[in-house]
Formats: sequence, C-alpha cells, structure tokens
Amino acid sequence: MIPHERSLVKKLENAPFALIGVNSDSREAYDAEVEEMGVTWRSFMEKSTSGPIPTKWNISGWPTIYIIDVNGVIRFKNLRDEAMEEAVMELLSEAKAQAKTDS
Amino acid sequence: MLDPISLAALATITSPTAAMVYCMPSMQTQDATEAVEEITEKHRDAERAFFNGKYQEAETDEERQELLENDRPKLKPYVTELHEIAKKHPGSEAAATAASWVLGLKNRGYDIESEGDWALAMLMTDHLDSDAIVDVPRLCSGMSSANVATLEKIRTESKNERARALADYYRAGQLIMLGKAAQSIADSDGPNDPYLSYNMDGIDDELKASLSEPGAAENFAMQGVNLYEHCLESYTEIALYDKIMVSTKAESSLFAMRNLQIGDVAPNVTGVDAEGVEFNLYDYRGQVVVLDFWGFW
Repeated sequence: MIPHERSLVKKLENAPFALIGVNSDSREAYDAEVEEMGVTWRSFMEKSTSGPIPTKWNISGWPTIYIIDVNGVIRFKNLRDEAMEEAVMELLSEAKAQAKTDS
Repeated sequence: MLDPISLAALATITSPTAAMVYCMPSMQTQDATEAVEEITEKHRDAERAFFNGKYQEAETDEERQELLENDRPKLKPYVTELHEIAKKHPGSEAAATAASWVLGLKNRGYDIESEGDWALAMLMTDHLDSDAIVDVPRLCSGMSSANVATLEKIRTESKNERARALADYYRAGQLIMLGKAAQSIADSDGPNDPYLSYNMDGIDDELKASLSEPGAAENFAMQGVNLYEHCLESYTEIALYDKIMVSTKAESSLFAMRNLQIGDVAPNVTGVDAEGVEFNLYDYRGQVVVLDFWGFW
C-alpha cells in the first residue's frame, strides 16, 4: 500500500490532487516510521482505530479508502493500488473536461 | 500438557456417574473446564509450531499452499474431543466454552463443515440465557436462513440483556445487507460491490426467494433502519466490544448509510495533523481527494 501511495503523491504533485490520511497509529509508532517509509502526505492523527473520525465514519476494516471528486462527491470506495490510481486519473480528466465546459 | 490419549482418558475418568455427581459436582465440572482449556491450548500451540516452523521456512507460495493443505494441524481430533466433553457435561461452563470455541473456528474460515453444527445447536438450547451466547450474534450475522433464525431467537427469547442487544444490532446490519442484495437482484445486473457479491454466494434458496419478492429491497432496508434506530435509543449502556457502545455503532452505521454512499457529498472531517495544526477535509474542495484510513501495521 504505502509505496504505491508514495509514488502516486509524487507523480501527481502538480495536479489538483491530495491524498489525505486518517492515521490510527500511536504518536510513537507514527514518529518511528514516518521518515523511513517516506510518508509525505498529511493525516488527521486519530491515535487509534476507534478515534472520533473512524468511529463516526463507521470504519470496520483498515485500510478503508474513499475517492472524492473535485465537487466533493464520493465516487469510489476501497480501490487499491493500480485501481486506485486509475480512478484518480479518471476523476482528474473529468475535472479538466468540466473546467473547459465551464469557461 | 497431556497428549490426546490421556485427555480422552481424563474425559472418561471424569465422566459423571450418578453417585459421583451427587457427591462432588463442582469437582466434576472443574475438571471438564480444565480439560477444555488444555485442548484449546494444545491446538494453539500446534498451530504456532506449524506457522513458526515449516510454514515460515517455506520459500514459495506453492510450498506454503501445499503445507497449509497437508501439514497444518488437523482440527477434527480437537473438535471431536471437545464435543465428547461437552456431551458429558450438558449445560456446564465447560460445554459452553467448548461450543463457543468450535463455533468461533467455523467463522474464522476453518473448514470443519458440519463437524461443528453441534456447537451452535448446544449454545442455542442449553446456554441461550448465559453469557456464553453473547458471541453468537456476531458469528451468525451472515446472510442465510439459519442465521436469520438464530438472530431472531436470541433477540426475542434470550434472557441475557446484552445478547438481545447484540442480536438486535447484528440483525439490523443483516437486514441492511439483505436490502442491498434484494436491490442487486431487482437491478438484474448483479452486485457492483465485491463485498456484497462475496456475501451473496452463501445465500440459500429459501432466503433468495424472499429477496426476489416485489418491494423486498425497500422492506428489508426499512426494517434495518428501524432496528438500528431502536439500538441507538435503547443500548447506550451496553458495550458492543471494549468500550464501544451498541448505540454508538448503530449511530455510525446509520450515518454511513445516509452520508457515505457512492454519489453522496462527503461530509466534512475536522482534526489535527502531525504538526498539531487543525485542518478540514473541506480545505481540499476543488481537488481530487483520496481519503485513506491507514496505519503502519
């Protein structure tokens, strides 16, 4: 998971794209690994799998992934790796087309 | 640690004759409880020895697959021994522990087929009101007629308050899932959710027929929502697991159903990043966002 996320963030650094984490690790565990694993994205720090955000969102499996378009609409759930990247690319080109029609 | 033969012998020795039970009943069940613990520990040790030994030393996926099929400790002898003890001590703590363990195995993906059916039957007849029943709702929440009957019986007949609450909660989730299954049958293009598709594989013909009736999707969904709402109002003091209350999980289940489906505008999220700075999901509106619930595991 993490290597793919890292490369996607790098690849899309100039695109209107953000990977936002909701992280379940303790502060110690997060700090111990964050540099070595090359984590460059921002996360909400929940410190446990039963923090307020995962509880409200009814998260029962980790990782859980939501893919959200430029209008804030949830478009895909739980796609991983290549499928996740394809979905993101699809939404980016859709946004480009939408911007063209709007102008 | 006893080997299986001496365990079987122990079970025989401690089998209660009328006179012995009259003289020292607590001694009897105490021994049986210990014997059950020994058997489950023995299985756990055998599993550990296998996974830390041969399995870990294997070099290819094929080798590992073959080891899993041929060399992994067989469950059947353990299950059979537990069944023997449980039959000799009906209604005892030992029987309840043995049956719960076997039922748990069945639902952890072990293939013991009908070998474990006695465990559920025993819990449902002899232990319906005891604390031994509280794991059953979670283990029997999948989509099948048998599971529907199990949950309904616990909800309506158990005298154990927590078991009734858990049965309500898991029955609500089952109804929602059945609603989605009925919808996917009505849509005729099949489930587009891999999780739903996986769960639909096990549906029996009787339940499938009820899913195909007109209005089934709406009916199941409505019953599920009503039951979640009942859980939300009624079970604020009953834990689902750890310190998470049934009412809390019912509330988040309803929240997810109403706000987190594909096509919904994602609700805002507010929290604090690793630098201690507060931020919002909505700060990223106008960008494609992957919201990733993750950790280093």
